Amino acid sequence: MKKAHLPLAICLACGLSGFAVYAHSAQAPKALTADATTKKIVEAADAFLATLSPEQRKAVSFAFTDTRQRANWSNLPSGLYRRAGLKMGDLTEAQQKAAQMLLQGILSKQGYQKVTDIVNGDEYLRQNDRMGERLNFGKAEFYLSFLGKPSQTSPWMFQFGGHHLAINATVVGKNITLAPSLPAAQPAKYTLGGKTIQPLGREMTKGFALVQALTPDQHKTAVRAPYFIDLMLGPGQDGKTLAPEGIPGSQLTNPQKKLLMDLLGEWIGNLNDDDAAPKLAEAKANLDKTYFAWGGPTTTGSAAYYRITAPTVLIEYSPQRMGGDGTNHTHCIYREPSNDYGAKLTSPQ
Amino acid sequence: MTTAQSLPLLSSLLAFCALPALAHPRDELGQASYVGITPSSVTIELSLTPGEQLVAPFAALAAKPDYPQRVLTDLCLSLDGKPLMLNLLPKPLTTGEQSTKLYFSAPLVSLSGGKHTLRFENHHTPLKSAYLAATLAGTDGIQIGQQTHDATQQTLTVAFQAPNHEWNLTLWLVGAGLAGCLIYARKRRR
Repeated sequence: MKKAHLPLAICLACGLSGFAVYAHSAQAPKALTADATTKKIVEAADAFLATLSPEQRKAVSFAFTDTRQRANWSNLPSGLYRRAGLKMGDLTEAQQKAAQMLLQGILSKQGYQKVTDIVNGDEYLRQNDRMGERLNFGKAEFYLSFLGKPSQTSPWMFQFGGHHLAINATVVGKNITLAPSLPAAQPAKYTLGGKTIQPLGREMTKGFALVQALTPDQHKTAVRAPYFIDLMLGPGQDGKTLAPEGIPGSQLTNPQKKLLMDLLGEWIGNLNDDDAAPKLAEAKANLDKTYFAWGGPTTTGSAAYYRITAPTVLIEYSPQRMGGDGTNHTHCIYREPSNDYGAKLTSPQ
Repeated sequence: MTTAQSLPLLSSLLAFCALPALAHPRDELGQASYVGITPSSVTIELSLTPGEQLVAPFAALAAKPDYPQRVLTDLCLSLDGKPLMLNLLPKPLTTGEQSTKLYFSAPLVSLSGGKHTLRFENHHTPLKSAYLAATLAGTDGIQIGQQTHDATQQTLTVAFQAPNHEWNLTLWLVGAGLAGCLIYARKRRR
C-alpha cells in the first residue's frame, strides 16, 4: 500500500468499526433493571402463579407477543364478550387473595379501591338487574392473564378485567404503564354495607370543578358540544393519537391549572405511587400543552363527557345512554399516546 | 376496487359475521370515524360496532359482496368546498371481537401551504345508528385546528394548516446557490 493511502485506510477502518459498534448497540436489546417496586410486583406475580395447578398455569399464560390476547379486553360482560385466561370464580379463596395481592402491588391504594368498587358494583348489578343472569354479571366473572413471564429484566403484562373493567399493566424493568385501561361503572352509585359507593365519583366531581372554574370566554373554547358522546378511543382503538380539542393549559390561570393537575392526578394516581411519580411530573411539565374538552351541560350532576389530551396522557370520561340515565352509567379510558401496552418502553431506541 | 382486492375484505366480513360482536347501546350500530390528514392524502377509518340486538341484521348486511362499496357511496369528503374522491383501501378489513373496520383514502394532489378546511360527512344509515367522528393528530407538518360537529356527529369540519413546501423549496434553492458560489470562489482563489 502506498504511504499516501495509509491515513485514508485508517480513517476508513475507524469509521467502519465505529459504525459496526453503533449498529450493534442499536440492535442489542436494552438491559432492563428493576427497582424495588417491580421486584415486589414480580414476587407477587410468582406467588400467585405458584398457587396454580399446571393446567391453570397453562390457561393463564400467553406469549408477550400475543397481540390478539393483548387487545382482548372490553367493557362488555362475559355473557356478551369472550375473554381468555382464568376466571376469578374458578379460583380458590387463596388463589383469589394472591391475585388481589398482585393487583395491590401494581395499583395505588386508591386505584385498587376503585377496582374493588367496580367489581362490587357489578356484583350489585348481578343481584339487582333482571339481565344479570343472562349476561353473566358479578364478581366471579372477572378474568386474569399473563403475557410473558413475570420478570425483572424482560417485559411482561398482567391483565385483569371483566364487565366495566380492563386493567392492562405492562411491566418493563423499573417502568410500569396501565395504558390502555378502562374503568367504568354501572350503577355509578350504589350502597354496600350502609356505605354509598361511587367508583368513579372523584373523576366526575373534579371534572365539574374544572369546567365550572372557567370564565364564559374559556367556556366557549372548552365546551365543544351541548351533549355527551361515547368514547372515541375505547376498546379496539389501540395506537391512535387524537388531535387535541378544547382549551389548552396555556390559557388557564394558575388556580385553574391546579384543578387540571388535580384531575390528571386522579387518573394517573391509580398506578402505584412509585411508578405514578414520573408520569405526574411529565404531566405537570406538559400542562400548557394539555387540552381539556367538555361535552354536555356544566351543572353538577348532569350527564357530561370530558376529554383530556396531553402529550403523554389521553383520558375520556363518557356517560352512557344505555340504561336511560347517563349519570348512572359511565365508561372511561386511560391511554398514553404511542405507549399502548408499553410500546414506547419496549421498542428499540 | 378489483375482485382480487375485494376478496380479503369479503372473507374478513364473513369471518366477522360468526363472531359474537356486541356493544352498547343494544339497538344501535355504532359508527366511529377517524380522519387522518397528511400533506398527500386524507384517510378515513370507519369502525362499525353493532349493538346486541343488531348483530344478526348487521351480519346479514355486511355479508353482501358490495357492502364496502355501499358504505363508500354514503361518505362525502371535501376540501375547501371542493369534493374529494374517496377510495376504498384494499387494506384487509380488521375484524376484532367488537368492531368491523373499513379504510378509505383520498389523495391530495397539490395541497398548497396554509389554511384549509376539510369536511367529512357520514350518511351511512343501514340500521339505526349512533355516530362519532374525530381527527387524528396531524403528521408531516399538518397542524390540526378547530373541529366542529353537527348535532348527530355525522358531519365533521376540520380547520387545518398545511406546511409551505414552496417556501421550503425556495430555501433549498437559495442554500444550493450559496454553496455553489462558495465552491466557485474557493477554486478561483487557488
